[in-house]
Amino acid sequence: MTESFQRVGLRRAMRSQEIIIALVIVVLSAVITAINPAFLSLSNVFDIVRLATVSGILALGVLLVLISGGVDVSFPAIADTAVFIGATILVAAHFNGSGIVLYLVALPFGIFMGLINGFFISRFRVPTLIVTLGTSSLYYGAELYFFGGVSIFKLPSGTVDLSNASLLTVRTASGVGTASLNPSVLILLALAVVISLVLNKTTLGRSIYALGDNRAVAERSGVRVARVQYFVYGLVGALAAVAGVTNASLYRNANPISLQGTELAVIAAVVLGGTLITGGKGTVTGTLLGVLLICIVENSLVLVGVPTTWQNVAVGVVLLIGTTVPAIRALRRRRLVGGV
Amino acid sequence: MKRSRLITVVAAAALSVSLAACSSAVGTTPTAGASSSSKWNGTGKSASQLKFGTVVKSMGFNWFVRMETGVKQFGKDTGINAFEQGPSQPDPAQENQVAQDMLSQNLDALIIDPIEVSTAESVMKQATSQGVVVVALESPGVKNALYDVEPFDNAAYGRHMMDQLAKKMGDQGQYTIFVGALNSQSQIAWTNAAVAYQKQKYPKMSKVGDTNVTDSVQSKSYAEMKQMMQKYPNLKGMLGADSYDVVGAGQAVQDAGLSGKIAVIGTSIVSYAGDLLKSGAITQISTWDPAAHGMAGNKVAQFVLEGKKIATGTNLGVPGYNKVTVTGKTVQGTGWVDITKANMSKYNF
Repeated sequence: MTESFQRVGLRRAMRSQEIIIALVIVVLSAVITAINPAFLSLSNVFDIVRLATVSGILALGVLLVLISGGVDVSFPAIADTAVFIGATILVAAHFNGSGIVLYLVALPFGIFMGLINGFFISRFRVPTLIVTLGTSSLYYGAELYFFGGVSIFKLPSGTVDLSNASLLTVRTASGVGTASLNPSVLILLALAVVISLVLNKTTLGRSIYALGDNRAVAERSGVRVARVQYFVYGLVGALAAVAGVTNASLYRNANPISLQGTELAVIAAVVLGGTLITGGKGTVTGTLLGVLLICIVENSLVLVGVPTTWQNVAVGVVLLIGTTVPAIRALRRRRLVGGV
Repeated sequence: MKRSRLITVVAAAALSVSLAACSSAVGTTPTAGASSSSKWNGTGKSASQLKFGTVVKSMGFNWFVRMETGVKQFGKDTGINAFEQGPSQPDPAQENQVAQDMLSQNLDALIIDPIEVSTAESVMKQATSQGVVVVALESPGVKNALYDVEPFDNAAYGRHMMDQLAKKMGDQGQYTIFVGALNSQSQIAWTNAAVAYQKQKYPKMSKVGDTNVTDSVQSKSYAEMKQMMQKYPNLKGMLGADSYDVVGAGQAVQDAGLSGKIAVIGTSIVSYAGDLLKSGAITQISTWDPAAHGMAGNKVAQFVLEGKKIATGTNLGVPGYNKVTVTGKTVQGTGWVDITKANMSKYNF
């Protein structure tokens, strides 16, 4: 009885965090639009969506890890390394066809690197942050040592075509030039649906929540922890590879360190979306809202007229507000419960 | 145990002595380009008897593979046995090792492009003491080389870039500046010089917005250029300092269907910017040719051995180094090259 009671409360709390972030997005958008109406133009929305696509795919992986009670900082290394190895292979093979092939070639490398994380985490029970700090350095180091550090701009023509593809092309607000909606956003949306289904509709998904909530209880109730961890980290590797290939396709460049340093912003976006850093709680919707909020902040400074040097400060402020508000509410709730 | 400690003590003592010797030597060394050419191994030798070695940061970069073509060309032109070597990975200790190996092969001149000047000083000092002429590249403030050869002066480069941008913009309209990082001294030096020069020479042009900082990340350059175009619909030009800046901005201009309508100009290389240059999204890039840089370094060494004077106005006989500026040990060329769709095949690096 109490358990279902708690779960209802938890779900309500998650929902309310999503509503808060959505409200913040609405208010922020209104303020930016008041300063520069170009913000709400379709062309600018397309630019923000493009920016959010790669972070969004990475964030889905981070969501899985955080729910399971871990922290992964190696996903940028996996993303960059998987696509760089994939591109190196395709260039060596003089492949010049479909853009999907780079995804197919990079994917196994991403999964493999994710499984290496899973191995150390489940086998030796080393803290996830420590393992992934180590493997992050290992993956980047091995990539630069064995494959060199020179960006690959000569990508297959199909990959280059992906960056030019458009679902919808519109004129910009000012009437000068056009803007197009890149189809890569469909990859993000499809993956979001799949991850959401896995988390909510499968036993495996519920096991991930259970593991993050309380490992001992999960073990006692029959969750095979090692198997769940292999699944989570392997899937994170796969998502990272997809994000890496999408990133390379969008900018027509397999840069060996393109995403280096993005891990904290992505983790922050996921936490902003209401995911508990200690595990057991988080939603796909909240995660996507968190990513959207960060991308709006990052992509609007020039429009508003704030120097781009302030980007980190602006993102930091949003994060502090976005994460302290729920914490304060949680404290107040606890005090209320204590009073009763 | 005891023995190893003894060795450490001896080594430390030796090090402190050599350091003292080093600092006193620096204090008493006359100005650069010592005129007494008799102390060099190569003095009086004919060209075919001479051996010049060039050491670079790493042979793993296209940049230094390109430099090697210049070094080989120098050898072909002069008859001097000139060659280039470098570690496979850019590691300062390995680079010193490569230089040391070269010194054991009766070298007459060592041309070195150090990863870390402070690490390379020791091997340069050793070379000088063996009678080898040492010329450094990209090392302003170097102590143990006779000369340091630089492709150009940053301020002059900035003025040149502004001239190019003005030409493409018809001397008027709004432009924006991109840099990789605010603490990159060379990028800031030349963009500041470019803006100051514009105010003075091209009053009808105006810089809009703040300097965009891209952290050398292509996707940031792309997003910032997109926003600049939204905010300033009349934007007519973009000047990029980092080699990724024009790549991101050029793609943004192309995606907006404005190729050729906004001038995109900046520092980059063909292997980064080639496709966009070809399509017309990037108007023009500038860089310095490592082949000419390597050739100029070798040429300076040859001048020293032939007892020729190197002063402001000297012609080294290398494109971009026809009228050098000499300040202390620094020999500066005007060694930038402008690359457009038309001549990009010539600069394949």
